[in-house]
Amino acid sequence: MNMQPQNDLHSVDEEWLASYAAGSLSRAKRLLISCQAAMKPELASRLSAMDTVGGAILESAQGEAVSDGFMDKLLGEIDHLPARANDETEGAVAATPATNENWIPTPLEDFLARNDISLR
Amino acid sequence: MRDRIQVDMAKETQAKPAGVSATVKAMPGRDGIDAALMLRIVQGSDRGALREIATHYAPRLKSWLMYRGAQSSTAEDVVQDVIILVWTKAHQFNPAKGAFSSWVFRMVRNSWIDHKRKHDRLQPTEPEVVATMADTPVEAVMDQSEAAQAVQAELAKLPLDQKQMLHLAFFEGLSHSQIAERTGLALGTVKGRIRAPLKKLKTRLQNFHGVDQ
Repeated sequence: MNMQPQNDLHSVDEEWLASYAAGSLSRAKRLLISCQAAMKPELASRLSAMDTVGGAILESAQGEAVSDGFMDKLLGEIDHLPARANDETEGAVAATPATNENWIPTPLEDFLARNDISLR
Repeated sequence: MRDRIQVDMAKETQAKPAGVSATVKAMPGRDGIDAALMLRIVQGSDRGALREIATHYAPRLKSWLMYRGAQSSTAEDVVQDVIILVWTKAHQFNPAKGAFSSWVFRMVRNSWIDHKRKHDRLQPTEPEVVATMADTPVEAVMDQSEAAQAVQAELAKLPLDQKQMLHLAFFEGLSHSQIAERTGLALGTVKGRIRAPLKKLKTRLQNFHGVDQ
């Protein structure tokens, strides 16, 4: 797995993206890709395309039988959930580098917060 | 008619959960079915629709998780979490933004990463930037539904060896090196067999705005 030496963030190796989609990329590399995607819609699009491939493969793969009672347990859990909020709206548009000079990628912000690290 | 790919089970590694057959069909085509089921959930809290979705996807999600090392019971716990998310977040699913399979694929990945993080607190991880469809930039998801159909059509046309490589990479989560070890093929051959279909898919997807690569 290699990244291209040039500064073009679009040139992330496809093996990285496939591994990201498959959930098998290392934590550090996943954070790196996540931050780049937060800054580069083109990379986010490539990740989205990878998820489309992954979803199509998941959809058509052969599964592993679930245990007896799995479905009843699942539906029992659903019964105990509070009523769904169908009118819930999608989140507000996040700030971007262009609109906020203190902006940092959300994945990095969450990572720093989780580890009680401040860069400000 | 859907053909099937049977991975050479004799070359599987220990990471492969016992009893799971690595088979992938060529022509999924559930877009319309899944979208209709999700609509029933959103509009009528239809448990029967959720059961239909769970019947199809729960075994596949469980298999995906077991390929990543989850025990059967753990895998079912995570699958349950994912299906509950499908129920509670159903209103966020927009078929115009992409296929349900892509949405749930992203959910199971994130849920698995979250599960691992909770059970490995000494090595914190980060959330993913594209956790939900709602987080994806608008320009990045335009025409995604058509793109998903295009991907499925292209997948159906791929040679079996290339489909097998994609299955190993995306479903079993193997690196190129691990695929080479599993299959006995040279690493360069593996890379070529993965790159070729992704290139075909990329070319196909370039016709859709927002998937410009």
